[in-house]
Amino acid sequence: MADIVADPSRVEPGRWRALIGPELAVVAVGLLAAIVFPDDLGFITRINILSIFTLSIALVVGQAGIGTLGQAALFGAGSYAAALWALHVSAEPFSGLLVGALAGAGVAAASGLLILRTRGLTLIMLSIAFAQVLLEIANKAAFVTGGDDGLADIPVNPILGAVAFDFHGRVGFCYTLAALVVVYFCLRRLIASPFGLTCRGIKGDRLRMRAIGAPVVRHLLCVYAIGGAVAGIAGALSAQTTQVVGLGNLGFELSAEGLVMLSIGGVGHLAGALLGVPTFMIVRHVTATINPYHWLLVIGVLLVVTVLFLPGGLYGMVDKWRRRAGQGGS
Amino acid sequence: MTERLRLSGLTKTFGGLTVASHIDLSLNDGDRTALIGPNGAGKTTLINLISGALAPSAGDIHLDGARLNPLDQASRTRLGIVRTFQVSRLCRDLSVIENVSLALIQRHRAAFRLWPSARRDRAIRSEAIALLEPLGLADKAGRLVGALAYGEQRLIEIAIALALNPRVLLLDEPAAGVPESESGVILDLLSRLPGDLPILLIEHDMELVFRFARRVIVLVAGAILFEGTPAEVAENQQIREIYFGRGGH
Ligand SMILES: Nc1ncnc2c1ncn2[C@@H]1O[C@H](COP(=O)(O)OP(=O)(O)OP(=O)(O)O)[C@@H](O)[C@H]1O
Ligand SMILES: [Mg+2]
Repeated sequence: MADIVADPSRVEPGRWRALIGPELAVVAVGLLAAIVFPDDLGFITRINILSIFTLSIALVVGQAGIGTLGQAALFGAGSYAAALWALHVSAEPFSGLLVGALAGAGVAAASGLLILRTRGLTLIMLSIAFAQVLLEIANKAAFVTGGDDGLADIPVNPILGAVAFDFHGRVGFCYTLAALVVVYFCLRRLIASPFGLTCRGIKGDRLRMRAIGAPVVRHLLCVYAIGGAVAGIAGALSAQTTQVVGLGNLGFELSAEGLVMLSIGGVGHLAGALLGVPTFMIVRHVTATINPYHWLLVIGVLLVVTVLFLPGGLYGMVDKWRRRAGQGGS
Repeated sequence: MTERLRLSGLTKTFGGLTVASHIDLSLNDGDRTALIGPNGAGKTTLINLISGALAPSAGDIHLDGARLNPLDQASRTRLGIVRTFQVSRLCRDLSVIENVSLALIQRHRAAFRLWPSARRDRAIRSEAIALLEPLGLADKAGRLVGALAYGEQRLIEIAIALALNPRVLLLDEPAAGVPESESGVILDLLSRLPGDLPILLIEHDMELVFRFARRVIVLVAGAILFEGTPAEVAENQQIREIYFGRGGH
């Protein structure tokens, strides 16, 4: 109760740490990785992009309880939209991100009208079905999307007209890391808002939420569209940094991988996405280098171990350590 | 006395089973009405019909003269039709204060605020604490609801209902599952509610009914069998046979 009566003019210590501490940690780890592994910038950039994508799943699945397996549809929509925008309208990168976000949000809102009225298994099946339909459309509409070949040689202008994307991928790395940090900050604020709490309430008990006057489906549509915008931004970043877009960006595998990465990191927290994605990617990278046929097995074991022994994922484990350390210290 | 809620000819059938049959009922300012009846009489169904969780097969519901039938449950709640659940429905993975805050957020129309504000958080928090304080739950505000005793969860149900600023309060067995020693807390709580708030209380515990209600409605097989003061109900031979005759209550 102390914080209610607290003098509002008092500057709480640790306030800045709470406000942007996690983002600073992401920047520090990202830069460190880039400095230690300067030859793997492409790989680290991919981790940045997939972290944004998985954050969108952490929002939709982890916070609002929308059990979707079709998030790749929104990633793909964002990447195709940004690619087409760059090819036909403007190669300015920020406008491409905006177009990607709008495409992801738009596709989410449209599919959400259908999907979000259902729950559980029906919702999972519908979300997969919707993504497959979108994939099939992208495949058939080859005159726009390039079909099976996808779109290549996507142009990107220098950022703010000054910083050109380089061969080594340094700019691409910084650009995606900056995007990750901004998205992470905004999502952390979002889930701390009344809207975010309402999402968790809907995940907890829909009937209860209706009884307190919450328009449940409208809330879900809104959070699903926001998640779609985030996934769309990730898709657009992928199009801009790799300069190619293919059907894989819409595929089921990407949706499933996102959910696996989140489960490893911890479903209930945004930080779960940021822990799960690098862990998954590095384990896969290392095992695939050693033996290209068995990485799936190793990932499977990793997933089983986390689900069985770490119910809160890696985040849950880290959190427990931190608490224990905090108790020991004080 | 002004009429707030009016049910006219309210009927609900499930297949061939009639669980509400031509129910006419008004709730006026300050009404303290108890709804009693044997298990399966249709008491909870009646609350579901009023709150909009179920659609009636026939009949009308009016609040302050306006017809509620076309409105869904959430809209009715926003107009002040507030109900509690016979079996607690709370978000067990959220804390006590978060559960209450959710209701306050709805009432303040803040649920679509996408960015936190320290001032709003403080206001909602202190309002929630003020609701929890008289229930003796303020010091448990940060605890997860799932970790609380069931009796305490019943109190949170009521705190949530009050957070919504009800115009009509529908309480479905608020003392069910509460140890007898603590049901007094609930009665105290009810007696401290605003005097003009109409309350419909479903309750099996006759002692509680007689202490709380000024009017008792007896529902049997979906139909109103009798309506009168507690004293009249206690004297009525037919009710004694149907209701008290089962013994126990
Ligand atoms: N959704 C439903 N579908 C079919 N029948 C239902 C449904 N809901 C309730 N019923 C039936 O309607 C009847 C009335 O149920 P209701 O829950 O309203 O009784 P009640 O008076 O609240 O009983 P109790 O004292 O046990 O709480 C019961 O026979 C019940 O089985
Ligand atoms: Mg009942």
